[in-house]
Amino acid sequence: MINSSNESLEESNQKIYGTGIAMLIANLLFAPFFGFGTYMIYQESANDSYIAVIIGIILSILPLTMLLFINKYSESKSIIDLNVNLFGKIFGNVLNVVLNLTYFFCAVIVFYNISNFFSLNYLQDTQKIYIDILILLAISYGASKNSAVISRMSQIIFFINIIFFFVCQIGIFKEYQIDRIYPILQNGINPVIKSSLKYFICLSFPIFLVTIIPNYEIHKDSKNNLKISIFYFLMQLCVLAIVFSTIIIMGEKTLIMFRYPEYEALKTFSLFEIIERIEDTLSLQFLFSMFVFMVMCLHFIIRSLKKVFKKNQSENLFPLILCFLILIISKYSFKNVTESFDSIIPLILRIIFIGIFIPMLITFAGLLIKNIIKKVSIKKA
Amino acid sequence: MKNKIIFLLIVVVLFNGLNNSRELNDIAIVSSIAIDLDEEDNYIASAQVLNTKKTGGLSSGGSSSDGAIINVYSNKAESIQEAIRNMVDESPKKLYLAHMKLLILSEKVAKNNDILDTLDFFIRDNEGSNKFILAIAKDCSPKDLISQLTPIQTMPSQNIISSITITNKYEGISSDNRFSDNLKIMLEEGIEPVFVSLSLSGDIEEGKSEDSLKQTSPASNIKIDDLAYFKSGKMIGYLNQNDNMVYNLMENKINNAIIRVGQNEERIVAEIIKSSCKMTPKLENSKLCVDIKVDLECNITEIGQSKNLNNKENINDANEKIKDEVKKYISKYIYDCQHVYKSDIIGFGNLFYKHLNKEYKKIKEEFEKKYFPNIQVNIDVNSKLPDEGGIKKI
Repeated sequence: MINSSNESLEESNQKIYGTGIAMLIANLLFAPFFGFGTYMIYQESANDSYIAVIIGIILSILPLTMLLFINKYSESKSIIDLNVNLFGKIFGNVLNVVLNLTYFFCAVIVFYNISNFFSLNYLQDTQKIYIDILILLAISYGASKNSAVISRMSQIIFFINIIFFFVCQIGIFKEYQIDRIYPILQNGINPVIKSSLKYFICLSFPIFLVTIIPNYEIHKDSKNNLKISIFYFLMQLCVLAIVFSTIIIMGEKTLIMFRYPEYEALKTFSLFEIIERIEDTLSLQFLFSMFVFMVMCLHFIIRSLKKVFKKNQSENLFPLILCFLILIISKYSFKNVTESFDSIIPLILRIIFIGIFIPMLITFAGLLIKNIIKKVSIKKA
Repeated sequence: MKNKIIFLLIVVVLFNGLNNSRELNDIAIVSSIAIDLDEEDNYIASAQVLNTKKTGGLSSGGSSSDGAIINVYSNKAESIQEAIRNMVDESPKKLYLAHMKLLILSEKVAKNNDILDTLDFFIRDNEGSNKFILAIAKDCSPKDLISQLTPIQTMPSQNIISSITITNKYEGISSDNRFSDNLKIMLEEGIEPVFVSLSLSGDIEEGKSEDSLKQTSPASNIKIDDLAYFKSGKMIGYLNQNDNMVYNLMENKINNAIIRVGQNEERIVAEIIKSSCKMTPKLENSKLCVDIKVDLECNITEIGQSKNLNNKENINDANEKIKDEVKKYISKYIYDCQHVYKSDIIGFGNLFYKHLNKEYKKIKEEFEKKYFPNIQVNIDVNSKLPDEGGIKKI
């Protein structure tokens, strides 16, 4: 009796609550924002970027709808099983390989971004390899845990991020100059539309990482979808607030001058003229989200690999092997920051679009058709 | 568990403090930097370093044998970075710029070199602060300015910063813009920057000695002088007296300022306690126009014997005179900018760029020479005096 109650308690501890999954999604959304996401948007539409973000938020209803639909009709299967189930072994596995490779690519990019930021702003004199190893050790440890632990970790990070967000806004509030949003649409609407599409692709698609968590690992609750939607848009609004405040603090010209304009904007932080120059601490909010994203990327790949190498003794080494691969690839692929940023950025969007959006759209369409066929056959019967 | 402990021990040993660790004892905290040019156009960088032995000693009973409160190191090189870094040849510690409060450029640097080119090191340096004040050394060497010891504030650079802030706050004549704000102005379209200037009087050599602080009046004085204005990245000159105040008035950076109307027994002295200025660009019959609306709140602080403010008419009369005087100041300032300084420090170009962007783009190339001097302004000043003060008549 006691044993069975302990087991059920353990089981319930292994399950993720709806809020947990919603916060995980919120963190994933925030991850590509710093360094790449907003950098692309600012370079394209400068002080009109906030308009691009607003349009991007409206567009991002589509991936959210896709995610909720896939979750609802996945019949407690992870995306890997679902693809195989929907499209058969060959095509399903092709989709899975594409998804895994894309998320691995995203992990490499985000890791390069984190390590670059650490090395540029925190630890200038430290050899980059030390920083890389430390970050990867933490990431591999996180990725080796199950989804419930990752979700709890992401909840803690979510609260830290929200506190940091409000503290930042209070501290930089007096630097706001609304006048800096002018001139509005000086280069027309085209750059704004382009950057809104970039925002839509870059900042919306990491959320599909949660499709790796099958429904049976999540507590059943009718409000789960509502919670996910609320946190999703809450985080989108936070992104909008950060973009807007960065614009009205930095102004049009300085905005595009810096690699990390949000970090530069945080340099103006001053609370009661006593607490100043804490931009390094405050910018941890961006890094924490990137950390969650990387952990989730590795978790996604590890769970996929476990499907291939069933009950393999070496599966505990997967996180370390993946981290080692990330380290090697990021070290030898990107040699120079400026060159890398300029060459990778146009690639990122295409790769995310082809590697995440299209497979997810295929899964979504497959699921939709399957449902329609099912309903029609029920009606006929 | 064993593995975890071994792993932790390896991490602790290998990454102990990382390579980035710096002990406080190993860094020299720089409070201000002065940049000058020599005859061969090499940069001469001087850094005012706080003597931690002395400053620490002040609270814990340090003796005069600990030396001066500051030390000034100087070096010459072809670039600012080299000049600053090479100071370690003289200083036993590496210079740490994160707490720098003041950067002073010589007139020669400001007039000969492009300001953005000179400041490139400070823009890129991510260890340094971007909250320092940038000043120009007027008719004196910037190195002499940072070498002076000051009587009231212990730290000389803090003394200068306080003077700049106070003159801005109570006289409305200097600019306490921080470097990050200046950088935005320098990069903005259609606006030229201004910087506060500092001048030095008295016995400069004596001012470097601690003995001068023991006298009732110090041997040398650092004065906050007129604002230095720039055009196309180079310094041109200094604003005239009242223009300093009007510059701040139009930038909405005035907390307090004094306005005097009339002379001797006819005088009315008012203190501006609140002000706001709004500029609206417009096109009138295809001519560029700017509406300037200034709202003031003033207190009468002094009046001549022949004036009395016993009734409302007299108060209104005084109010009208103050309005006219401010209007006169603003008109003169705008005329000076358009025809004397020939520099758009008001930011008219920026106004048109931001609010009438399409029209501005068409005339951008010719704006400075053809359009800026001919922009018409409509000035509307509103001032508010308290109906009745505490003293009726003396």
